[in-house]
Amino acid sequence: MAILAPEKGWWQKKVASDEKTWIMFAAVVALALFVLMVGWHLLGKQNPSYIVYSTSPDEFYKLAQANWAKYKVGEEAGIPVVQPPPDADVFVLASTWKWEPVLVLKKGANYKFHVSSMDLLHGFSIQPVNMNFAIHPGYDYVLTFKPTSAGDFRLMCNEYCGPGHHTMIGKIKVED
Amino acid sequence: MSFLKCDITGFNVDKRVLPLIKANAVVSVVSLLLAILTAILVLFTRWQVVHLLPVDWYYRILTLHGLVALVVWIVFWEMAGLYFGSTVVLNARQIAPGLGWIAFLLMVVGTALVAFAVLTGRADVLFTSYVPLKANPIHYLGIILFAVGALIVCGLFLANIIVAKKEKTYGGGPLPLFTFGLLTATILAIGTLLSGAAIYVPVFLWSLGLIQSVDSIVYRLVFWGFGHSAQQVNVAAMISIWYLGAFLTVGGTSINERISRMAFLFYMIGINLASAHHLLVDPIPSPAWKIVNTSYFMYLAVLASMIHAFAVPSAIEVAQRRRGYTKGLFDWLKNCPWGNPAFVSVFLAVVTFGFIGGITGVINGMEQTNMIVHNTLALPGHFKGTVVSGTTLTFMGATYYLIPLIFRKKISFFGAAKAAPWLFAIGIVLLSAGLSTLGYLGVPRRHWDITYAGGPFTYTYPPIADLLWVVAVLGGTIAFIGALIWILVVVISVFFGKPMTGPADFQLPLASPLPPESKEHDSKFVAPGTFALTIIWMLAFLIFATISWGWLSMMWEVK
Amino acid sequence: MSEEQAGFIEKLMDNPIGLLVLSNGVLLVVYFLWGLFEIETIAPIPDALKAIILGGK
Repeated sequence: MAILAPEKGWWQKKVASDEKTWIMFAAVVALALFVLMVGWHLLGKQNPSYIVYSTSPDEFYKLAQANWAKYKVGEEAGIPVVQPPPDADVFVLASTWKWEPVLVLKKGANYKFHVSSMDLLHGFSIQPVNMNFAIHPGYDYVLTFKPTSAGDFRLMCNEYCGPGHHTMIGKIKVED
Repeated sequence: MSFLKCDITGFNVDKRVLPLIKANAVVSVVSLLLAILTAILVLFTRWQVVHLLPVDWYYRILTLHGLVALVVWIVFWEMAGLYFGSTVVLNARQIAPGLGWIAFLLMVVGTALVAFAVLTGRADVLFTSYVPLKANPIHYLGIILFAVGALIVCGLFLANIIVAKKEKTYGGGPLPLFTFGLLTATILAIGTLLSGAAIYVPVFLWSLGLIQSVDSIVYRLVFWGFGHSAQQVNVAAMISIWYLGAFLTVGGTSINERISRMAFLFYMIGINLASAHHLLVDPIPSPAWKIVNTSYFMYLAVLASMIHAFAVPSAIEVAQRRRGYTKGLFDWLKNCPWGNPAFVSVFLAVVTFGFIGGITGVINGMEQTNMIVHNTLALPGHFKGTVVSGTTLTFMGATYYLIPLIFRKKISFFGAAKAAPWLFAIGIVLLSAGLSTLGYLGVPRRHWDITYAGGPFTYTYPPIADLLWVVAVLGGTIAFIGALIWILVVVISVFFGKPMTGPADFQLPLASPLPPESKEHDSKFVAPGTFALTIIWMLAFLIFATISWGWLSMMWEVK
Repeated sequence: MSEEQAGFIEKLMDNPIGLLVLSNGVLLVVYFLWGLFEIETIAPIPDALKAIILGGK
């Protein structure tokens, strides 16, 4: 009885077999979920990176400029268009309220993204593949992407960053 | 000190605790009104067809909605619950009621400061107020005062139960299960509120210019020790009320109190660690930290929830079977008191919390699948299923008991009172389904304009999104109406209702005593209907998990 | 579970302060101290990497 102290012998009472069966079943599923997360790191192709460096907005900005200068191929909507070769380091910069640069990538190649913010927290959200990461100022989050589909993709901000938040949209082009 | 004897329950009630319960309950109901008004403004702004509010007011109202719905309404209600659970059901006295009033005052002033800061545009930082986004010091001060008040009430709860034990007001044995569950909530709340202090005090000093900066990852780590743990407090409080509800409505008792209590113990050890799932797609901490915190320990908590998911319905089933409803698997369920809105609320809360909140919660909380839901509408979709159709609906149902027992009033418009939980639950189910699916299509949460007008590029979501928005808006509107009816019923009953003159006026009959157990069935299948329901739940979970991981495996590769 | 263990847990369940310490002790160590330690020990961008980015075309 939920509002009275339990009856005598409650601690020794045997567990009914349906309750026991259910608990065992649930425990097995819980354990399987645990194994799935660890196993996906070994066998799965989508795992959040854990490579991160501390930096400062100034330092990161300087590195990004140098990186873009090397691979710049044009400009779109006032934003540099950068086409790095496969396996290259690619710097992506979030600031209120834009993503820089516009990227041109090749399907099936690996790219080492370095993503950081100049000011506030931003959300790194690639659509329509729907991959989402948290981007902090002062930290360089290193994410190695391999685009597995070609086409025009968008990079949205999905972490609130002030009244212009909804205008923070960038572009990633993946060529076949 | 004087006690009065309740003519319905037979408890000895400390007269001084009644006004404390009433004051906290009244403030909570009023804040729920504010919560649903802001909710409907947010919803009709997000629906691009109407796009109601301008951008600055959208984020302002969203900030207020988060704080009022998630914190003010629920915590004030829980304060009332803690007073009730540590005195009334223990026949115990209230320790230091004066301190309780100081706490109440702190929380009211805190709420007022926050509302002032937000509505005057001094705190456009949303519920999470992630640094380096900065609000006016008034905002942080308000939150700190509120937290201190709540912490005092947690202390009073502990003092009450310790003194009650010493004075043997409820016999010599362990605490009743309901109060033990509330003790779990209190212990979780103390960790939660200390985490809140650990982050809001430095941020307050930073907003005053006394501290140079607060690290943004440290902020997220410590903030979620507060922000998410607060929701675990709600879970523990809600489940305590489920056990109470099973007892009050059909006379059901947990079929094995040791198991139920062990499940609460698992919550105490593990559930607050689950806060880590908010950092799953942050660059640090490491996968080891993430997996240990969200899985190893969290699954201890998940397991505990599964135990409660069996224990609560089986308590009802076994009681009903003893009353003679033994035909087939579900005769017991068919013959439950469906005319009792408190029972209906608890029942709908159990079902929606399990099937919506629980299932999506486990998937969102896994390291890899979190990548495809983080900061999308799938998250509001998830917590509409936990804190809204779970906690809020449970508290709504329990309030139906507070009206006659504490406020000593009859429930006015009883027919409307019966309809409210159905409307609210159906509405939230639709809202949650709409939002969750939109989230899987990548629609962000907390976003004023998903046409990205004014940006350098545009993006259009798949056409199905338009339909899903209609489902969400329809559901939100139905839930709004349901909640509004409930608020009106409560306010009218409490302030203008007919006084209770005696047990004859009681509209929610307490369950009659159970017939004696026919035989000892310790180790048999005692609740086959519940067993079938839990297996159905598990199948639903496994299907949803497979879809989510399949969806994930189709995304770009990342490491 | 042996009888002695059961006795210990049964006693623990009846001890609010013991439960309070246990619950928040686990949270402090596993969530907070471990997490904060990892955040505080993040390395700066390696000089070799910086040289590659800033240097040669």
